[in-house]
Order: sequence, then structure tokens, then C-alpha cells
Amino acid sequence: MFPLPESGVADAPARYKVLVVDDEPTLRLGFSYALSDHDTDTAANGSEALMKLDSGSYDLAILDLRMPDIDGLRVIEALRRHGNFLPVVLCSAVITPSAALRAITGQVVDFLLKPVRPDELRGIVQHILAGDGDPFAQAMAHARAGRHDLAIHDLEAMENQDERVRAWLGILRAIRTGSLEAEAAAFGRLERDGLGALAYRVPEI
Amino acid sequence: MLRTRLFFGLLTLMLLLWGVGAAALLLVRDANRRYESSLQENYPAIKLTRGFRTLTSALNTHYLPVLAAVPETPVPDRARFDSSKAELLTRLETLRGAGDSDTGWDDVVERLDHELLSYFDGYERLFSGQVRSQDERAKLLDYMSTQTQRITDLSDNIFMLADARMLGETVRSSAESSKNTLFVVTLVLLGTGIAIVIYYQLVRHLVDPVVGLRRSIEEIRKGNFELTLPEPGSDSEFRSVATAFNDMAAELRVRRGETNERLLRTNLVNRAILEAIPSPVFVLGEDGRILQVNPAAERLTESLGVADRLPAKIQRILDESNVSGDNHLPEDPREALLFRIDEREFYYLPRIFSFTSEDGLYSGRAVLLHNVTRIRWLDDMKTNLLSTVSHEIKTPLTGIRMVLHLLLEERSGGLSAMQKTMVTSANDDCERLLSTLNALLDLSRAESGSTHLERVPVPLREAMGRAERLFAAKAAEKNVSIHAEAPEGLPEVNADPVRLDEVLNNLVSNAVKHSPAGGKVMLRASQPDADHIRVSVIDEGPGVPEGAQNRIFERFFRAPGQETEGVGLGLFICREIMRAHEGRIGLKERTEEQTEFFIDVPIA
Repeated sequence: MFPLPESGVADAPARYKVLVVDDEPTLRLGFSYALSDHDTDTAANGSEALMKLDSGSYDLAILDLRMPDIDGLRVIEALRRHGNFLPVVLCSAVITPSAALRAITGQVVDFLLKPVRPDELRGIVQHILAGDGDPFAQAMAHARAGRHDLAIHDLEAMENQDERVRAWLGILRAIRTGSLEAEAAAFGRLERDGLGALAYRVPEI
Repeated sequence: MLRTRLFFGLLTLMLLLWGVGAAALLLVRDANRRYESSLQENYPAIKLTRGFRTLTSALNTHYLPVLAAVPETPVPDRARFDSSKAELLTRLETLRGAGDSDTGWDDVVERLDHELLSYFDGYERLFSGQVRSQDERAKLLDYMSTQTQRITDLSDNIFMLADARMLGETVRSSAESSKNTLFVVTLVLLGTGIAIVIYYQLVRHLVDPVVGLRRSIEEIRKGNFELTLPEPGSDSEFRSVATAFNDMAAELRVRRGETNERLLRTNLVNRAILEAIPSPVFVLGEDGRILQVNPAAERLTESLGVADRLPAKIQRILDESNVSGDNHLPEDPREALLFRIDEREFYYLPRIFSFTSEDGLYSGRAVLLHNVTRIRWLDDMKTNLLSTVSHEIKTPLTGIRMVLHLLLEERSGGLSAMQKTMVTSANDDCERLLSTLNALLDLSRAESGSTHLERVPVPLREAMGRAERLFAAKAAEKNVSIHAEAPEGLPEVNADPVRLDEVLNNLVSNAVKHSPAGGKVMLRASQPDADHIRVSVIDEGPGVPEGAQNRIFERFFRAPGQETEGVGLGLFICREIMRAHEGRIGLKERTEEQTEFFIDVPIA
């Protein structure tokens, strides 16, 4: 279910089908408004989200981490168990390192830190689905597909080794090594730095 | 007093010695004199008596041959006879004088006198010439020889007497000398007696007390302070010694009493302290054996089923720290050991420290198990609470912000000027609330994360360069220039680069914020001492108000009259970070219209 990035930036942006999952009605409303360029649907909790994702076809899900019934991580795990490899954006006020590690192993590499601005929301959809052609988006696409080696390769090849790139390299290498110690080190680094470096930011152009 | 006694005893002995010597000398001299006087008395008598015989025989030889010769032979001149007669008479007188009322002596001298007169008589007859006939001559001759014989006998008698008298003298002096011997012997015996008395006195007054003292000292050495020396009489030198000794023993008794009491008290205090400590405490000897435990430790070991032993986990840490020789004083509750007691989990932080007595003779180790179960629980609670709060606040805030942003984007329709102002104001408040929330989260991260530094050697030049680049754009907006200058060859510092950047960014951000338009912000590296590198951040702003300078590093402190945004946590977080680095942060006194903040980072 990996959508092919469309070539270049079209004059009329493509419309995607996005599922917004959040227990907060205002946010569902706000997200829907912000993504009014796309076709949005909403789900108020994890089970509803799973139901909708099973029945309909979506290009992307924006998933709240904390939800009353089934939390975001378990939704992801359920999806992946059902063979649904839909791209997911994990959105929460606080993403703990352990949650991040679980998400990454569940092929979710896109994080949004609440509070989210509308342009960030629009940006991440574009980043994932349209692929803005930059090497980082390419690398992240590999990571999203579970091809960590390729992702690491692309990240290493990047000229601009900024904080975001270094953080991702550290995490992905730790996961690739698979050793407990490396994971603990990555875990420690995540805890120390917070998840700021992993979260999506609007590219400053 | 022994001194006087000794003095007088020895004086007596000395006098006796002198006496014996003097007596002996006197006696010898006396005997000599006596002998001499008897010699003087008797020797002339002996000599005189000898003279009677020679003189008479000389006279006889001279005159008597006439009588034997033919008749008519002229009688020789009587001159010689007269001189001899006078001589004889003088001798007789001398003898008589030497008689010293000895009747025997006088009697013999009288008879000698008588015989001499008869003798002279004979010669007178001869000289008178009446004796003519042969017969008469023969008779005279006969008479004369008889007289001569008698005189000789008598003078012999006198000689015998004188001799006898000399002998008697010797006998008497020998009797005298035996008496003297007796006297000297008596004196010597007396002296010996006195010496013996002095000896016993010395022994009684000098040796006995010393021996007694030695025994007592040995007793005291064995710890028997209960003993007292008998006090000698008031005239003994040892009285003061004995008194002093008894005083000392008494003092020792008191001291031992005090020491015992103090020991008891110290023991009591120690026990009270140990019992008052709610944490289990084990006091171990040098060999690792448990010397003392407090009730909390007893309860712990009992409920763990290892009564009177250290739990294995702690023993292992103890052995490790024993090998390294360091104290084991962890602070982080995350290093606590988990013990399960009655299905409940307890976390104990083992603190192991060694101690040595002041004189260095005794040492041991103490293990204190700090119960951090509650701290751990609170820590977990805090973490949970933080994530809950931040989620619960941030989620609605996200909705609000999202909506406000969407409204301001005016996608769903235009806003009136009034509406736009209100929504903008609401959006600003929302942004401020968000930054406060983030600062609070940063603070809790700084407080809990200060022990989790990942320190590596960091080149400060690069860190300064990063801060310069990061704020260059923001500074340019205010027309403020940033310059970083660091001398070549500065040693690297031992720091967590992320945290160090945080501090530098905060300081530079403040400096830019407070710089006047057209101002200059300087980052300067220097080395104030052997262990630190200093980075100074200098701006040309108005500086920190006088009254606020002491408080700027406090939590939530904001200098009065400060209109720029912020919740007053930046410098506090910086201080926490520098403290975790064992470094310093400070504000220098304002000089030349410049404000200088500095950090001192330990050299790697």
C-alpha cells in the first residue's frame, strides 16, 4: 500500500483520502478544515478507526497516540497484523521513546507533536504522499517501507547532516543492530533529546 | 626523717671510726712512752751498776798489788782513789735517786752504801800506812777483796732489780695492751652494730617502700586500681610518694569510672542514633563481619529470610566497592536495588562508606540502605503526571490553536477588522500559554535529566560557532551583530554537547533580546584557571537591574520591568545544567556599558 510519489509538484495538488483519528472533536474538526484540500474522514476512537480502515481505502491516517479505547500504537499494530501498510502519522502531545521505538518498528516514521499548526498538517501530508523530491523524504520513504538499510544509506549520503538526520541515523542504526544495548542507547538518546528531532517540521524555505 | 636518721647513723659510725682510730693511735703512743720511760729509768741504773765493778776493779788493780808486794813498797798516790771514790759516791747518789720508793731497791742501795764506806775505809787504812806487817797486809788484802766482792754482788743485785723492774714494766704494758685490744674490739663491735642498724633502717625505710611501690605499679598495670599503698609515717620521704601514688590510683579509678560511663553513654547514644534511623544500617568490621545492625536492618534481614547476614545483592556491591576501595554513594534512585517482601516491591539505594578511627587503628564500613521506594513511586508518578498533564492540556490547546490558525488563514471566509484583532489576540495568548507549558516541561526535564549527561570532549569553538550561526538571522532582524572569538589551541571541554548548546543558546538569545538596535554581541573564550574554559557572552544592553542580580538564576524569576516574553526559567535551567557539569555560571559586574554572562566548563 505504498503510494508512488507523483512526479514533481502539480499545479493542482492531488486530492488524497485522509482519515483523521482523534478523540477530541475540535481537533477532528480543525484537522478536517485544515485538510480541506483533501477528502477527509474522521474517527473518534481506535476501534472506529480500525473499522473504517478495514472497510474503506485511505491514502493516509493521522492517528492520535492517546485514545480511550485502543491507543494509537495498538491501532498501528492491529493494522500491520492485518497486512495493511498504509502510511500513518502519529500525532500526540508527548511521544515517549518506547512509543517511538514501537512505532518505528511498526513502520510508522512520521510524528507530529501537538499542538499542530495547519501548515504542518498540510506539509506532512505532502511530505508523505507527494514526496517533495528531497533526499530526506526519499530516505524516510524507505524507512516507512521498512527498508532501514536503504534509509540509512540515503541519510548517510545526505550533505546536510542536521540534527534531524543525525537523530534518525542513530535510531535506525540502533534498530538495525537489533542489540539490546544499542536500543537502550538509542532509547536514552531519545529520552534526553525529547522527540523534537524526530518530529516533522515545516521545511523552512 | 630518713635523711636525718641516715645522717646521724652515719655520723655515729664515722665518729666511732674516728674514735677507734684516735684511741688506737693514743694507745700505741702511750705504750711507747711507757716503754721509753722505763728504759730511761732503768737503763742508767744498769749502766751505773756496771760502773761499780769496773771502778773497784780498776782501783784494786792499781793499789792492791802493793799489799801483795814486798813490805815497805810505797803506796801509790791516793789521788786516783779520791777521784774514783767521788765517782762512786756520785753514782751511788744517782742510784739512790732512781729508787722511787721501792723498798727493795733502797735497801740494796743502803747496803751498797755501807759496803762502799767499808771499802773506802780499807783504802784509808792503806794510805795511813798503819799496815806494815805482812800479816796485816794480807788481812787487808783479803778484806778488800771481800769488800770488792760484796760491792760487785750488790751492784749485780741492783742490776737484777733494775732488770726485774724493766720486765715488770713490759708485763704491765702487755696487760695494758690486752685491755686496749678489748676496748678497740668493743668499739668495732659497736660500729658493726650501728652499721647493721643503719642497714635495717635503710631496708625498712628505703627498699621496702620501693619494692612495695613496684608491686603496686604492676598491680595497676594489670588493671587493679582498687589498691592503695599503706601511708608511711609523717617523717618519711615516701609519704609524699605514697600519697601521690594513692592519688594517682584514685584518679585512675575515677577516670576508669568516667571512661566506662562515657563508653556506656556513647554506646547508648550510638544505639539511639542507629535505632532512630529508619533506614536499615549495617556496621561492618574490617574483616567484613557485621558488628552492629539497627532494628530496621534486623527487620529487613528477617523478612528477607537472611537473618544476621547481608542480602546477597548488597554483599556483591560491597565486595565490588571493597575491591575498588571507594565509597559507594549513589544518588540516583534508579540505581536502587529491588527487594520483594510479602509480595510488595521495595527499592533500597545502598550507600556504602568506609570509616577510620582518628588514630587510624580501626576501620570498617557501614552500609545504609536508603529506602527510595516512595521516591521511585513519586518519580513514576511525576513522569505519568507530566505526560498526562501535557497531553490533557496540549490536546485541547491544539484544537484551539488549530481553529484560531484556520480562522486567521481566512479560508472559510473573511474576518472583519475587529474579529481579526480579537482572533489574533486570542492566538497570541494561546502561543504564550504553549511556550509556558513547554518551558515547564523543559524544567522538569532539566531537573530529572541533570544526572543523565552524556559527556564527551567538546571543542568550545564549534559550540560557539553554532550559537553564532543560529542567532545570526534573528540578530540581523534587530540590526545586532554577533561575533564569536576563541583563541587557537584551547583545550576541549568535558560536556554534553546538546546541553552545552542549550546553555549557550539561552545566553546568546538573552543577549540578542536585550541588545539595543545596532549593538554588538560578543562570544569570547578564555581560560580563567587550570581546570576550566570560560565562555563569556557580552552584550551592550541596559544590563541587569542592581536589585535583581542575585536572583536572576532563580526559578521563575523575572527582572522587574521586563516586557519581553518568557517565564523566567531560562537562566535557572542553564544553572542546573552547569551544576550538573560541575561547572559555573555567573554574571560579571557591569563595565564599560557591557553586560557579561559567563560559563566555566571543566576541561576534558
